Amino acid sequence: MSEILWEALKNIDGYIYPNEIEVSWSVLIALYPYITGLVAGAFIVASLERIFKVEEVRPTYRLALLTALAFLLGAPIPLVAHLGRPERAFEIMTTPHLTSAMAGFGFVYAWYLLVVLLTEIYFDYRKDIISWAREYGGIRGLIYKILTLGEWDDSEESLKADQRVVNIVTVIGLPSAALLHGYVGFIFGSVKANIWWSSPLMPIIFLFSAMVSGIALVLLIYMASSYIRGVELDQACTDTLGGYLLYAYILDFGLEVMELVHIFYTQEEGFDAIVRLINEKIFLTFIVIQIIFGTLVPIFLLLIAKSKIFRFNVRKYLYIFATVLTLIGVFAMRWNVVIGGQVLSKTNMGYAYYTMPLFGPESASLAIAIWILPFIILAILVKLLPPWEAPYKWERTESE
Amino acid sequence: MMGRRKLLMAIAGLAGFAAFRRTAKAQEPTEDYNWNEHYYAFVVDTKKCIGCGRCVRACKIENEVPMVPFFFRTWVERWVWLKDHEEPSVDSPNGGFNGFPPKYDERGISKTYFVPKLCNQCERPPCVQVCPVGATYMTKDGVILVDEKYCIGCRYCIQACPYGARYLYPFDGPRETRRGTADKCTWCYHRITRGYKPACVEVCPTQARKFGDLMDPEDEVRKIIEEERIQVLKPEMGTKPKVYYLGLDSEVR
Amino acid sequence: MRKIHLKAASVYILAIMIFLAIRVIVVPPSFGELTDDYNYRWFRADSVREIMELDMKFAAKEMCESCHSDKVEFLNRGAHSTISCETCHGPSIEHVRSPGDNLPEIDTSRALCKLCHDYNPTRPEGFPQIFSEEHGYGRQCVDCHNPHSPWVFRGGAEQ
Repeated sequence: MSEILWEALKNIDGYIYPNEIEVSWSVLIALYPYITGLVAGAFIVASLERIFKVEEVRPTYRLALLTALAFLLGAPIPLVAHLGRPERAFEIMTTPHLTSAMAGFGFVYAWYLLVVLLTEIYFDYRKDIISWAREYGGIRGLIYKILTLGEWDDSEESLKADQRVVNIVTVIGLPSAALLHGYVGFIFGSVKANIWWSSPLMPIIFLFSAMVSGIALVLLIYMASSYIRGVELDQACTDTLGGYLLYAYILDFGLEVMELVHIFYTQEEGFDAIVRLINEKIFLTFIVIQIIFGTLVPIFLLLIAKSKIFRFNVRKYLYIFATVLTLIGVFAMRWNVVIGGQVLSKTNMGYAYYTMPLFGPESASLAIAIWILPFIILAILVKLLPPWEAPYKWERTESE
Repeated sequence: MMGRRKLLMAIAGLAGFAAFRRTAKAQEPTEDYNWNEHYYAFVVDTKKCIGCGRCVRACKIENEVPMVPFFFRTWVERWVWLKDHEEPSVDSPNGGFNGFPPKYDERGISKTYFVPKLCNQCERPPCVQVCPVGATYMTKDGVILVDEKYCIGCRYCIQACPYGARYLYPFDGPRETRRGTADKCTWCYHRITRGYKPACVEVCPTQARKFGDLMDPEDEVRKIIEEERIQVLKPEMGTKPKVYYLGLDSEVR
Repeated sequence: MRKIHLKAASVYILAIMIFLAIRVIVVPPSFGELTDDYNYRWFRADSVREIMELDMKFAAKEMCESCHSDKVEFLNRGAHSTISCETCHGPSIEHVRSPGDNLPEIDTSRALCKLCHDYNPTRPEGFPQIFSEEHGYGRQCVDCHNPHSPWVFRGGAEQ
């Protein structure tokens, strides 16, 4: 640990406060808003079909819900791993200090997990859970039987009641998703001590880039899972999702441009330090990865796809490239906010130095492992609660 | 009948409310020390500081701060304005622990001074506001403390402090119970509540650092604050610091 | 409200009740005892008591004075009056508690005086900074200067 600090000491540029040598919030804290952003974004995809009645994206409805759940389950892991005293993590729920946005985490997380996601998934799947409970034996059957909570009523009326619950929960879920990710943006945006973070726009920027990343993720998973299953992609669904990704991206980019324009126009204290931060310290991750390859190129690809110049087989690859670049670009955005804000010293006269070790606590390998875990959870969920089994009519397993 | 039931419920509610209010009132933490009778403040006279670093050393010894150049409860900065440079050159080698070796040719220096820094024990502390679990707090006598047994080490307070006064106590630090928790200058609370001065104030050879109690009418620090022209660091942040500087250059951040 | 909704709701309510029960056990007893302001004083009251009980490493000039009053008086009459004993003699609380067993360090080297009196352009004007090699010709500073009152020289000459 101190080897990192000795190396950082050699690489400091200008003057920083002595305590700023250690970059406290590491890659794990850049990973957390990324994961919760994916949750919020995936839920928005699900609500597209439910609330906004965009019928074309119906094939991804359950998949989006399961994706949201898988990533939500993985979300607390980078946080707890990062704590100086992880064994005391429960204190955030037992004695929360609600003047702190971070204290909201426990409640917003519990609310979103229990009241929104689990409730919605449960009541949407209930009919299938009952039929699977009858169908399967062994451990899998036992799980389904427990999930039925002893109620085997799958009549039309009860299903209608279930759908009503799902509708209500989705309506509540939309602002809850906004809160789940907005509060993370507020954690950064409300820190007046850090000029790179302090902005009222921060929660909104985080939310929109979360939407972008979530839509991209669902689209990518939909395409990947269809490929794995050897199933034809639903063209309307894919194109519609690509369209919404484009709209969200344009909004998100507009907001980020607004933030930058404000900084460059008002030229407040520390402006020169910010200019040097962008031009030198985070040039690669900000200008190259986040803006050019992470935002402008995907928007361009999506515009081409939307214009339908090419046929669907080519558009598929446009979407694949666009979504992969988007996912990288949104992570770069989180990285630039978290790490960039700490590299910029509060003295406005210097820059700290961040090294990410390859192994050990707060390392690249841990970050990658935590990032992969939700995919594994998703695979288990897809096995347990398949989003595309028999009753759904949009699946074409053989060509007609 | 309804009237009587309502009356009984109202009385019960009032009694419950009163009981709750009584338990939530602040008393003193111990019998020998009444924190309602003190309100501390700190003065730093930058015109007197000679940059010897005794304060940094005394603080590290007194408060078990690791002796490495990465963590400081207090430190001294050297500000040098060179004649041909627009921006000042600032450094703080090991926080000033071993003094300041000569670095610049004196003939090129326009003006230069030392600025000791420590936790400002703000009256509107952003660090306390952002603690998610209630591990850091402001005492009634105006000192902000950290509960090392309760802090979870989320480091939000470290990010929120505009002055860089906080740090995370390292996992190989000398005091085991403090490892992995946030730490910062406490104005040597364990000394001032016994009537002594903080360690840095005690050993400062020029009395550039001064400590006092604003509730004491004879106090030297109180007189300075009431009569001299004083400055604070980063007043635009709205934190209302309680470390007052004499002779602080407006360019110092 | 169908039975399934009631059952699902009761699962949640049960979880909340279990949480509240765990909370009673897990929250430290003195939490909130001294909390009159939730914004800035939400804390575990025992923490203040623990911090007040922390051990001191440095003593104080008043403590030195109670036994070494003549030295302190001599110090306060000279140029080093603003210095505390421990500035040079280091942390001495152990010496106060058990004077015979723990003597404070006495560093008579040039290096200690150099810390303050070496020439540095950042030091305020008028502060004595004569520390070239010619001054004293490499001898110990204390060979000529009384460290407790530096204008008192060896041989008793005062200035």
